[in-house]
Formats: sequence, C-alpha cells, structure tokens
Amino acid sequence: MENYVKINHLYKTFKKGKDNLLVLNDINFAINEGEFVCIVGGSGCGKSTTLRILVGLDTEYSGEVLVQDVPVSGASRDRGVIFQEPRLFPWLTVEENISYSLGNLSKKEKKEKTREMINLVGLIGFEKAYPKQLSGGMAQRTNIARALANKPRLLLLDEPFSALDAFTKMTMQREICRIREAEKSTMIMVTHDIEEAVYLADRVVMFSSRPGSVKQIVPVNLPHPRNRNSEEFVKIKKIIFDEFFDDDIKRA
Amino acid sequence: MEHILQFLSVKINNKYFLKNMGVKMGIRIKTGMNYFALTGLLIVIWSILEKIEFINPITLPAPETIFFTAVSMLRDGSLEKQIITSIIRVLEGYALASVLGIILGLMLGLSDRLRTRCDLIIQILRPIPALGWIPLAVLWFGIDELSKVFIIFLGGFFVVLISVMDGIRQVDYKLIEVANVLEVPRFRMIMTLIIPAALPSIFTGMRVALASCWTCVVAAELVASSSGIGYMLMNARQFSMSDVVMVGMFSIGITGKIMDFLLRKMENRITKYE
Repeated sequence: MENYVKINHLYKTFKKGKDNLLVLNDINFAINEGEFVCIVGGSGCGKSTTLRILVGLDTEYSGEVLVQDVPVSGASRDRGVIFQEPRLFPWLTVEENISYSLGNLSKKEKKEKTREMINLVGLIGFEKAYPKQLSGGMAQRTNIARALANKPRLLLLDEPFSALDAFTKMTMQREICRIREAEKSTMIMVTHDIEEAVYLADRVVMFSSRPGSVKQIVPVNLPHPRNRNSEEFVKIKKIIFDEFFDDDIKRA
Repeated sequence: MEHILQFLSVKINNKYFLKNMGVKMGIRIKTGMNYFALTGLLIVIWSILEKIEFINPITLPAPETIFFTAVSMLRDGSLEKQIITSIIRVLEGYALASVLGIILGLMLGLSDRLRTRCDLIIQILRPIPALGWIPLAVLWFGIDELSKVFIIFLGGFFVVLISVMDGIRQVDYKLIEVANVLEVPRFRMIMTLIIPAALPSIFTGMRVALASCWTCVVAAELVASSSGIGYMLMNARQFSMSDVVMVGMFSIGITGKIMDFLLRKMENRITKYE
C-alpha cells in the first residue's frame, strides 16, 4: 500500500513553565508498506518524539498522523514497538516474557508462536532463563521477539541497538534484516548511527535539531545483504554525514 | 590470628580445615570465626568480669548462670509456654495487619482519587506509636487478648500499608508503557504487571512489620497481661530474678531473629528471579 504511514504538518511544543519549546516543526513524510525507513539525527532533534507519537504514547501534538489512513489514537498491537531498553519483566522467564504479548490464544497456540519467535531471534536453549541471567544482546533479542510475536504490520524501533557493544550491534543489525525478509513488515527505526541507517534502510530521513524538522530524505538503493565497505555504501554514508557535519567539511 | 589458625588446623587451597578430619568433612573455621568471634569474645570477657567480681551478679548475671537457668526453664516447659503464647499473639496481630494492610494498600495504590481522600487521616494516625494506643486499647477491649492483638496489629499495619502503596506507585513506568503498547487491559495489567513488580517492596514492608509487631507484643504484655514472655520479664524483675530477665531478653531476640529468617527464606523462594 502506498503511503501506509502518513505524517502531515506535525507540530509539537513542550511547555516549560512560561516558555514554549518548539520540538517538532512541520514534519511531513510518508512511508510505503514494506519499506524500512530510518530516521537519523543528533540527540534532542525530536526523532524519538516523532516515533512516540507514531506509537500513540504521546497524544499532544497538532497535525495529522495516519496509519492506513486512520488517525493514530493511543497505542495498538498493530504497531509493535521495540524500545531502546529491553524492558523485560524480571519475574518472567524469556519465554514467558515473549508470550506476554500474546493475548487471547489457546495454550497450545501460545506455545507454538513462542517457539517460533525463539527460533527467529536465535535464543534456543534460553527459554527458561530469567532476564537477570541474560546479556544485553540476549535481552534485546527477547524484547524483539516479544514485539514480533503478534506479527504487527508496522514495527517501530527506538534506537534498539544503541546500548549494545559494536559486535553485538552488527550481529543484531544482520538479524533485523533477516527478520524483515522473513516477516515482510514495515519498519521505522530511529537511530543516531549513520552507518546503521545506511545498512538497514530503504530510505533515510534526516532530521535537523532544535526544532526538529525533516532536512532531507535519501534513498538507499542497494541490494541486501549490504557490504559496509563497498564504494556505493560509503558514498551514501558520506552524503548523510556531510549533511550533518558540514561545518567539519568547511574547516578541513 | 594466622598463627592460631595454623596451630589448630590444616590449610588447603586457602581454606582452613580442622586437623584429622577428611577434607570433605572439614569445617571452614575462618568463616565461622568471622561470624562468631566477636560475640564469643564478648561472652568470654563478660564471664571473666563476673568471676573477678567486677560486676555485681544481681545487676548482671554471669553468662553461665543465664545458660543454666534457661536450660532448667526449658526442662520444666515454662519458657516454651511463654514464648509460644507471645508468638501466637504476634501471629494473630501480624496476620490481621498484613491482610488489611495489603488490601487497603492495593486499593489506595491503584486509585489516585481514593489515595488523596485517605491521605490526611493516614498521615495523622501513622506517627502515633502503637504503644501510645495502649490506654485506649485497654479502655475499649479490657485486658483481654484482644487489646494486645490490637496493639500488635497497629504495630504492623501502617508499615505494610505504606510499603504496598509505595511499591505500586513506584512500578517502573517503562514497563507500564510496554503493557500499554500491547493493549493489556487494566485488570490484567494489575494482576500480571503491577503486583509482581511491587512484590519486593511489599516483602520488605512485611519483614519490617514483623519486627515491629514483635516489639509491640513485649511492650503490650509488659503493661496488661498475665502470660507471655513480656509478662515473664516483668514478673521476674519484681522478684529481682535478673537471670530470668536475661533469659527472657535473649529469648525475645532469638525468636525475633528466627521469625525474620523464616520470612526471608519465603521471600527468596518467591522472588527467586532477583
């Protein structure tokens, strides 16, 4: 579907006492079904705020935010979220955490879906582990499995790998690509890692800071799996990098 | 220290074992010493001070006297009887405090509206020490069991109430957001997220409440009772039987410690994921 997600004239202000801080300034863009879009920007540029509005956790804004032409009002299971922190329930095991998102299904169905998810994220053998016993990467995988268990058509990811070490991060990026191939969901990811954005996205939406607005949208027409060191990859990375750090270029 | 240990034992892999015992059966002396050494030393000094008559045996009996008195009291069953009477009172008051505290704590923790309305009366009643209620309790309930159980109940109730309320209000909002995104209905959220998340705080409150209840039972018995360990203490004092007094005090301390230990064990079993 064209324009599966539409954002029209999105404005948001934070009220700080008497002052009003304009956080989002006329955000406009649209995302097609099945696309993977990365929103890139420095910290404080409003990218996470935009995502939270898309999720439905934030309802104070002006403008239109539509998913399948229906305005977003409150959170919904159709819009899965993968937060930056794993946010697992410490008193539940890995498999219990994953099946928490499965609401009214029979026990057998829940067991099957959970097993499918555990296979998908590569956590076989850790079903009965508690979050306390997991490494950062494993906890985040559980988080991902929990979000995917419902097979949401739209997946929103808020810097999901920024708390992981470099190796785990690259592994997880590969995993997300693989999962995306398997599930064919639409994904919107917020990140401050330019290389991550170029590795994963079909299009990269660049946000400028204070107030947040869309600077530019760069398409990434490279086939998967992508080579981080190939010429084309680096070229696109450079375009984005220059857009953000143009003052560095002038100085050099 | 090292020399004493080396004299008494054999050192294997940096641990000390008693000589002439197989390594598997060996006792880790050093660990034991760390735990008991100070108390043991104090007891020995105390005993010596008694022997050289530095302390008046009526003001403070020797540790050996206390020990033998305790043994004879255990033999004729009088000590157990008093301890059990007190324990039963504590359990009654504590159970009441826990049940009411948890129910009300849940209601107030989950409903902002209810909480603002009850806040004033709680803040006024809470600082009143349970023992301050004794005159009123005796007036209302006489010097029967009920007045003592009432005091004990008060000793634990507010502690449980506040810890349940706080436990619920301090559930990590990040987890609540996860539940909101998953469209978890309110009731399921309370049962499967809020209460389990509040459990550590609730358990802490229950342990503190138990200790508080135990303190109250002794004091309540000191005032208005004819049985129980507090009564035994007051009675012995009147006859200047300081050894019995000391036996009573130690019994109180040990029983309190055992009850806390058991509660801790239960807590660890339930929150084994921590």
